[in-house]
Amino acid sequence: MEIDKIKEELSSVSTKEINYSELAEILKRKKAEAVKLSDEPLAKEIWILEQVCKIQQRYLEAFNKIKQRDFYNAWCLLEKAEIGLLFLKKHFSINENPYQLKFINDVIRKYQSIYPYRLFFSTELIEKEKECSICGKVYKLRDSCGHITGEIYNGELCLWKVTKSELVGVAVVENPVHKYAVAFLKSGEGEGVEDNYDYSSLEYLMKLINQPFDTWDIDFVVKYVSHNLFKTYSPDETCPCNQTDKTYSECCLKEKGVKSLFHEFVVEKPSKEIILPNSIAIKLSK
Amino acid sequence: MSLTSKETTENFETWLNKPFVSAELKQSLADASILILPTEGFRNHEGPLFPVHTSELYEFLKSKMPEDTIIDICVDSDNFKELALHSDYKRIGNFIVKEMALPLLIGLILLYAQQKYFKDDQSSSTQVVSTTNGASTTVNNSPNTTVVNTNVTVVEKEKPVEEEKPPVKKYHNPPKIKFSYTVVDTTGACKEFEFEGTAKDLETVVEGLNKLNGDGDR
Repeated sequence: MEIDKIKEELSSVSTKEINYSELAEILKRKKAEAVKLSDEPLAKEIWILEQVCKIQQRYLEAFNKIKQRDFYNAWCLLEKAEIGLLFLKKHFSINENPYQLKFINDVIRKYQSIYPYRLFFSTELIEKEKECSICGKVYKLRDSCGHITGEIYNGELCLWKVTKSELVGVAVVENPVHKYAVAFLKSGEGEGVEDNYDYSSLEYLMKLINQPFDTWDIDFVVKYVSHNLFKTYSPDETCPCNQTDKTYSECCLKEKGVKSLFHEFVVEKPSKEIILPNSIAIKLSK
Repeated sequence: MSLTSKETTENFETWLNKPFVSAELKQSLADASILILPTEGFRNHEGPLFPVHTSELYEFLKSKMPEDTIIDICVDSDNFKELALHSDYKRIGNFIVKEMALPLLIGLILLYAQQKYFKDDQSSSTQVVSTTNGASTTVNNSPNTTVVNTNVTVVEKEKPVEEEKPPVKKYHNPPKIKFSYTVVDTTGACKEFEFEGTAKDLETVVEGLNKLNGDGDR
């Protein structure tokens, strides 16, 4: 398969199933040929297509996992796709291309905004030694190998590989570098973890959309829910809005209701599986 | 956003006499206009540490500096280690800089941060007040700012009244950077500045610095 055909194939991601394993093999062979011929621009072009393959594949897998309620693994795949986009953006515009990269970039952020994860673990490391992923040379101050991280050499991305480090701590953060490090509770005495997160917003969304490239949007709205629904809360308890450490009487009891965050979804092609309650059928007149 | 300043006695000589700078290195650093400085005494760790990606920043700054401006790192090569803390702020580093090289340094830090962290930043500019010796200067007509210029100066911005907005996930907030620099003027006087903010904030600071340099207020 020639490069142009591969590009055509990747452009059809929203309309047909793509054999990514086959494409990956073809691209790997073509890149090796380009490197042999010292054709750096072609090797880089192939690297870009390899990244497009990975990003598309990870996003599609993530979507399917969300559909299957495998939420945490979907979250990790979304992060991997996000990282792939981050490295790719330096070399390729994701805004004007036929590979749905802009859609994937934007929709990943939307999914992340719906996930209930708030706290993450972040390692604190002293990096003592690192080597260049291109030439393997150990980094020496004032005697660098000359390769620049983030650049592409022989169709490979240049990164630092940390080979010696010291763990000095683990922090609990709200803004992690590694989004996969979600905080879970340990389940009893066993090795497993308990996933007690509330995925109801995601579950609701998945009833509305069918396909990974269906267009949807989300609006976050703060509304005041009637105090009548919180009659079991004492004024001295922590406020049921969960946005503060204040008591109910110090916080929302003074307001017209309890502040609550709502997700409002706008879906272009709602699934036929669900009929929304309180919906009105409007006959359009010609 | 915040930009704080305070007087300091730590000059180039202070840093060149540190134990992690050999006599040989001290000689080669003597002509530097800009030094990247480590943090010392991080928890129980002895020795100097630099924020993660310092090596990348160093190579970047070196590649952009004019030939007559020397930049280096204030540590022997064997002692160079980076500390990866991964928090809300992207720590750029600490610097000591001769006054004449300051605009160049800040401009290049802005360029580096824009390329590395802020390419997709959609944040809006916040209002800045920069402090000078005993005077306060409003950079972009911000009536709701308060400056207290004592030995330790804290610049605060009164938040404008906003509509109630739902909380955004912190990792979706525009990235913020943090760095500090000590400026040494021609008389040898030193002043340390610390910046925290977004790319737009830093752009405003750069404009402010250029205005101050132009007005000769320093």
